[in-house]
Amino acid sequence: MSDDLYTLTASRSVEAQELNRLMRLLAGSGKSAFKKYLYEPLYHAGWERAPGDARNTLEHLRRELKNPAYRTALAPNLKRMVGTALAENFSVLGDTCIFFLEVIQMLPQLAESSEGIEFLNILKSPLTTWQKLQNERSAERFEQELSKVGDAELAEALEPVKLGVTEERARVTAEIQRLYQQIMIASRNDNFKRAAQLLSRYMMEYSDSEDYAEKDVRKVIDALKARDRTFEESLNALLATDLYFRISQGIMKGDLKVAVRMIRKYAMIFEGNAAIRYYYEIDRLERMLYNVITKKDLWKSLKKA
Amino acid sequence: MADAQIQITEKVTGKKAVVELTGELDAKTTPALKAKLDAILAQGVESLLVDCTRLTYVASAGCGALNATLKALKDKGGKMALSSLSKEVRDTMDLMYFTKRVAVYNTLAEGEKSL
Repeated sequence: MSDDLYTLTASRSVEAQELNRLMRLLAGSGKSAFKKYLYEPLYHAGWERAPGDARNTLEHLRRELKNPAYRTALAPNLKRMVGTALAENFSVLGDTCIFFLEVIQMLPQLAESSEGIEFLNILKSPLTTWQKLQNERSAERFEQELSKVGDAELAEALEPVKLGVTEERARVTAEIQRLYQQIMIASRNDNFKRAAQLLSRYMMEYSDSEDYAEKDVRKVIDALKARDRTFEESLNALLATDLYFRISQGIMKGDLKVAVRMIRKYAMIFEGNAAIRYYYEIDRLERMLYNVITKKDLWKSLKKA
Repeated sequence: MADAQIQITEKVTGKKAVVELTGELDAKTTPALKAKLDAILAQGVESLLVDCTRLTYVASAGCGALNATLKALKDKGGKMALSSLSKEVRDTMDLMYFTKRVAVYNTLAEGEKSL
């Protein structure tokens, strides 16, 4: 495999992915949180530089990403770009930090650069602190949203995926087959990143569909695991983080439908495996959900749905 | 809220087993059930009945663990059933679609007969 290809390891790329998700959630939570948990840690670490045109640099680096000759200059330039963005505005700061994290996910050598390591180290503690606070708030907010949601809306949120319409069923089946073929090609080429992305998408979209090819998914995972023993662990981290991100986003936006469906997908994919990320956080949300359903006496109508 | 507790008792007779659950099956207690079921399957059990008479709560984690056992048994030509579900437990299992996949009997006696 080429050194330039992303190698899925359970280490920095997963950490960068997690921080990437957290930063996207942080951006949606308001300027004061963004300042406290992103701007200030970088500022106090001495990253700020004179204002320039960080957005322009971002576009330039995005283009240079495909240029192998530029790789050695990438890490210091990413650091400089974030430093410049610090002196500009929160919007460009968020975009440049997310880009830095995406590059760390894509290029293992960048994850091992002093700038990459420093960047992750600066962000890890404040974003984790923010996440803990956010988990508490999410749980409270979830409870509030649940208590005010209408019966019909809750019933709709919990409604199973039905593929009664022939065209829709044919479309989903074709999509499942297409995705599965792509997964097979990626796995044959040892392209772990692509295979993980496709598998993650497939499992996320179709794990609660009647046509979900669970046994085939297991075979692909086992085959990739035989070549890279950390593959499944990394895939699970990717999926759990994504699902929890969607649950949190659903709660923050008051979209109960998304939150509830993602909780169910999490349960179907991970089957009570306590080693998976966010296992206990999701269990807590679920207990709240059932309490509200019981209080509102909605079990009967939900089952009819 | 006090932490959930689960008590698991099993009776294994040759290739058949009956597991009785008492308490709540949530994220905290599911690992204990999972470990117990894995150990039972490792003994060569092919027919399993899970009696839920004294099970007062089940979360998706619990359904997931039971579903994993169901699949493992089916893969080796075995079977699994549940008996005596309370309304609360049945409701949650319905919501998780688990009752669509597993046989459910009203009483322990009926469940045992099916083994």
